[in-house]
Amino acid sequence: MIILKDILKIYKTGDVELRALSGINLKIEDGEFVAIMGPSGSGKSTMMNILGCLDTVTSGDYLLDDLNINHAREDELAEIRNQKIGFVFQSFNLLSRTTALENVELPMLYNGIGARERRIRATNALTAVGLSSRLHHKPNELSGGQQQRVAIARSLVNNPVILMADEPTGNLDSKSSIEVMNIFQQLNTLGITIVLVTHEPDIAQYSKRIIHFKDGSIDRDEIVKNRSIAEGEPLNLNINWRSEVAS
Amino acid sequence: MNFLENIRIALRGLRSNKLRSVLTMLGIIIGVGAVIIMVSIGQGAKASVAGQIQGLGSNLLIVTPGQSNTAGVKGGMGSLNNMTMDDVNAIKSSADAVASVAPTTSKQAQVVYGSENTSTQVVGTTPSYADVRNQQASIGRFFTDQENQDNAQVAVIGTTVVQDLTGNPNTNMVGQTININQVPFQIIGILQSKGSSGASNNDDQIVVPISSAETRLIGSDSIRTIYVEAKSSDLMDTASGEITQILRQQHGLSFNATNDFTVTSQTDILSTAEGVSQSLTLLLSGVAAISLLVGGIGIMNIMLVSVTERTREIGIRKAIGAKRKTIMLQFLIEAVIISMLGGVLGILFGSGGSSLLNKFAGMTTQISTSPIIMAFAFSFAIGIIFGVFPARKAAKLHPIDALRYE
Repeated sequence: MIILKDILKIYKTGDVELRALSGINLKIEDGEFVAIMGPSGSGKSTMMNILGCLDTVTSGDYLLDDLNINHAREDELAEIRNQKIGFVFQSFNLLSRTTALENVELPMLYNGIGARERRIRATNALTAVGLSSRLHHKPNELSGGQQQRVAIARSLVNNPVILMADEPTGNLDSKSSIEVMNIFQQLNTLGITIVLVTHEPDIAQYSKRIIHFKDGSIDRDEIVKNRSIAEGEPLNLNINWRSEVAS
Repeated sequence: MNFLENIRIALRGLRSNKLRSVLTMLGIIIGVGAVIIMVSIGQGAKASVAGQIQGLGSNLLIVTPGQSNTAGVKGGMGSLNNMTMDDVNAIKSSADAVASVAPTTSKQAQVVYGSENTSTQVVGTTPSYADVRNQQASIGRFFTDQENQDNAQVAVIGTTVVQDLTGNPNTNMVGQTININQVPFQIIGILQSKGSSGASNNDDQIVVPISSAETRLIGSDSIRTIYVEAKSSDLMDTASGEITQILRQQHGLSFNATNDFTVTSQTDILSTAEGVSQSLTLLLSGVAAISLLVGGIGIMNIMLVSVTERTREIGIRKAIGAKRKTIMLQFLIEAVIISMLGGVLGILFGSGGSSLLNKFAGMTTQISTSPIIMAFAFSFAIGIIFGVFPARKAAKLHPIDALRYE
């Protein structure tokens, strides 16, 4: 569960102060599927960075799973990102020259999971998103949609509390976009909380709740009516990547 | 994240940029290789000089005349003609720590054998020279005291002279007659070959009785050098003191006059030679160390470029949970791998180069373990020292900025 209280974020460049976020109060329950929308400069990216623990607030309280992360130091934030947050980016952000499998193993490399279990969990996660035949392909050998699915597999392997998706369909064609939204919807059905930043209204329509940002504050917070359902292959959940593998 | 995985990641990083990695390594390869070669040359020179000095004879003291001073004009060392057979006999009879004494006089002379001729050093001495200078006859024999007393025209010649006169150093010339400055001498022995020591060649000489040399070749009875063998290595200093005392008495020097001769011991020469080769090694190593430093700066340069190029990768790694320390370690290990790999290749290159020099350039080189270990440790240290700054730069990157970097 995420609770934000009076979040203020000010960027200082020289003498100029930029109020990116002013007084955000927000609560996101477990299992929600929230879309954050707004024009550029509205503060939605800043919101995303703060929610993703990539940045810290100027003032206010951010509780993630009852953990107050206002005053976390850089390395503590790294640990929180590793354990509790999964990232999916617009530009995929996979390591080039590195196979899909190794990309998915990466988060587990940073929390000391053994090589054998890493391999099994990464393989399972890739299988779940339908890439079991692409384990040893490098990013440049995969289509955009496939790369994004590798990124989703990577975001899942450490069982995050919340999945942060920053314009995940921004670089994809409409067919791949629907595939990705289909995976998000299925993951959400499994109980994973998803926060999605997008500027496309039809993509936001796949979520359950839309928060509109304007000039650094919440303009509108609405429940999605007539929610779109993305068509696509069902997740391959015969193998559960989420359980720890007994070694 | 364990160490082995860091090494794996670093190796992959290096493999993906092979040419650049090799070029970066080249600085260290050349540096380490140069250190190894330079040190091996220095040590080789030292060992061969020490060997030659040991080969002069054991427990050897060398007495030479002092500087001449004619009306205030000073001559070179040994230019004084003030040592005589009386001095030699006095040392022989009065110095207790002395085992044997060999006076020598010498002259450059023209030697003729049949239709061949050569110019060489003729040394006039006594039979004890064979023991004192450790120069035995390998074929035939050395001359005797009786022959020395009789001004016998006999000679023991070195293999280089044999080579010059017959074209083959192994020719048995014993029994043949040669003319030294038109004086006939019968060859009774060939000197055991000792090889050359830099400028002086121990095989390029003819040894004759000192009496014959004085009367028939040189025409004066002054002695150029007295070689003295002490009874044991412990008695070297004692013998040196005794000789000094005896010669001062012989030359009638007053209490406060300076010596008109010099007594040098083998260890003096040895330590001088060692000092020279030591400073040579130091100088060469200094040059090599500078090239290592340049190699290290090359590593730092490339690592900085690499950090900038891989800003996005660093951002990704940080976003999914890599801590500062982890990123730091990743880049540090990469730098250390470059420098250590360069170090290992440099050691191979240096050892190979030094044995090639030994084989084909006729240089004496000696490779010992200490410079290899040093070079290895040094390249490790260079990796750390020049890797820390770029690695810190990488570790300090802010994940958001790094992710946004194009």
